[in-house]
Amino acid sequence: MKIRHKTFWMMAILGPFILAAIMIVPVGLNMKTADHKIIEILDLNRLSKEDINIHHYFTNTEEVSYVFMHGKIDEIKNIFLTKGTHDALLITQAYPSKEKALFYSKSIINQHIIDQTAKAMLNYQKDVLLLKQAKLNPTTIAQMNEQFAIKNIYLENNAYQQVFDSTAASVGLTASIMIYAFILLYGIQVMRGVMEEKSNRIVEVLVIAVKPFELMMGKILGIGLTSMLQFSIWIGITSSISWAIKSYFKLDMYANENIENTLSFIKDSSKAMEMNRLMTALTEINLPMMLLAFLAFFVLAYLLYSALFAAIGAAVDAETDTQQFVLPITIPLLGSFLMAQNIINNPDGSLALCLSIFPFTSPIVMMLRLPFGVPMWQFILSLSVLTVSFLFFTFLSAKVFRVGILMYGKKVSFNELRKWLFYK
Amino acid sequence: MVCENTRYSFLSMAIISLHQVDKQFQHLWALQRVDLAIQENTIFGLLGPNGAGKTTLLRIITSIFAPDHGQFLYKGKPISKTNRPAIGYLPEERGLYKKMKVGEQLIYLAQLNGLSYQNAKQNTLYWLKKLGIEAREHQQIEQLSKGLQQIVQFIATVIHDPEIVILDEPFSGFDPINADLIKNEILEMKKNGKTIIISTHRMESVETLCEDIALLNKGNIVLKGNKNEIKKSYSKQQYIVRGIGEVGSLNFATIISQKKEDLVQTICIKLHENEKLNSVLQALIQQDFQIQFVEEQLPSIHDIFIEKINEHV
Repeated sequence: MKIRHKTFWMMAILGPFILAAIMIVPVGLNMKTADHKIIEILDLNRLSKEDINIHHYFTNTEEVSYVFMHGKIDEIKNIFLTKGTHDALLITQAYPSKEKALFYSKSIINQHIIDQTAKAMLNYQKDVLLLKQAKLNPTTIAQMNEQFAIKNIYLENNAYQQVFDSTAASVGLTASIMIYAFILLYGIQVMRGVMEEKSNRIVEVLVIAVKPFELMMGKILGIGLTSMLQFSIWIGITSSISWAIKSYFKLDMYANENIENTLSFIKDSSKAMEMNRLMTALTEINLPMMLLAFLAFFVLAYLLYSALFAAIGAAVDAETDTQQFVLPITIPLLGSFLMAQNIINNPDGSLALCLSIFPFTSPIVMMLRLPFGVPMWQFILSLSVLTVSFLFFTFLSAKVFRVGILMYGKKVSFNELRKWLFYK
Repeated sequence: MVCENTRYSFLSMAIISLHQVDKQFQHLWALQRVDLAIQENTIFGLLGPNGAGKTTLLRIITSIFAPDHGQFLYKGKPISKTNRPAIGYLPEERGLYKKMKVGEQLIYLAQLNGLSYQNAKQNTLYWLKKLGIEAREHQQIEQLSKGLQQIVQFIATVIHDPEIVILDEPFSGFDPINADLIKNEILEMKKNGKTIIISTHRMESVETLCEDIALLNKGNIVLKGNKNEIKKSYSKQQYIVRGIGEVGSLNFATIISQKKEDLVQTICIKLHENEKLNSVLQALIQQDFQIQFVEEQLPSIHDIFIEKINEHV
């Protein structure tokens, strides 16, 4: 019945597009604002190219290119301010002046470009200082700079670790948010379905043909399978979208095997390396394992929570009465998110371990921990506890369901529910 | 097993029997030591005021609840997976999936009761045609009038050709034409060998349809048996006599009421204790009264119901 509903197909088909739009639109907007800037540079050191070539320091990128000016400071400034079409003018002071460098801009310049320009200027002025003050020759200065470059390669591993950590955290957080959202979404659908059958009294006819337990499990499995169908459609469409994005933005060139070629033609090598690190981090996370674990935890968590939601739906007469029961169930889920930062910071800590075993938090916490790597015994223990809990709580829920589904006009309390567990 | 069969042999003719059944909800006794036997192929009336325990009794018969004590038997044996009747149940509070179409809803409910899709479809078309609503097959339930929804609900009850049909207040919400339609269907089902249990507090339907009745009050069966025998046992020795002529005073009976239309005189008499009807009739003949019609005026089930409930108040 549900899959014949238009909203099911609208959500199934539009869902991934909406998600993609949420992710792509801000990126697109960002890209639009980051248009190319041209910065004029007037160097008051006025050194000859044989001493130090300023062009080597201010290298052009996709975001910015530099134009080197020659002439009197007032004239250049005047032309820039009145007739000039360039975005900014940087005047570097001659050593040993104590004046600050001047930066005039006509439009808003991205902080990233300002930082890059300032860094280039500092490097240049440092070499000017070495040349003039320490009387080093340009070759010696070039050799010294080489040595700094070696240090940068040493820092590479740390940079990679940071990228890996943040990528793992994002993957874990996304998976856990999805589990949380789907449990609530589909669990509440189960609850509403049960309430609908109870309030329109068709349940009295249904329980003649099927046992209350079968009715409850039928509802849970029915909505579960519907969600799986919706899920498959989402995965299919999302894969197509991501494939399209990948080929449109040529992300393959950042893969390890292609990175050298990419570096040779992309001017901003740091950006290419960063992308490469991200891609490498993603491959190290073991995404197929993540997907399998996601499905296993999602299915078990859905069964556990929807059994509880079904019991609530059976126990109450009106949706307003559900609040007092829904809140205690959702608290562990919400609590897991409050702890998310702690868990990501210390994925192997005792808090993370406990919460990833406790069945009401394990689906979310395990998703947060998994990208960082989890010992197999913990993974299996967590799944086993979740399975046993699902069986136990389904048994209890079925008892509440059996009594509640045919009970009308009674204000239900936790104490009342406890009594229902012992009805014959 | 032999022992069990012997123990309940007195109930062996019954399709459904309850022996000393108790059901308690917290501190409230819904049923207390209920003994009841419903014979196969009868129309059985379960009567009782609100809160008497009728619904609980029906839920035990439909195996939704298990008795706390006592035993519920189907054809003399306890209910099991292999020994359970096909039941059709029309609840007092009617309910169907409002957004579903009439045809697909009936097919779904028939399949839920074990019919194949083909049989379910066939039966759906048969019943829709039989009750004259085949044109509504593709309409949503919520688009139908309340009366038509009731008819669909009735079809849902009988579509899988159940052995036992339980109807809780079957005529409430029906106009007289549809009520007659349902009444005829009930009689036809009885003719086809079904057992029908009607739970109601509308006595006129019990008078015309039911053969056996049980009166439930505060969880106890206070009266049960064949309807006509019960009525006879509550006889107040009152008779209606119709004829032509004048009636004088009678030695063996008291005249309760007297009515004359043209030449025809109708009198209601109550026999004195230990007197016989024949003595009164002879006295009337001697008075030159030409008797055309004599009938015992039995109390209605309604009167018996009220009397019995008041006894227990």
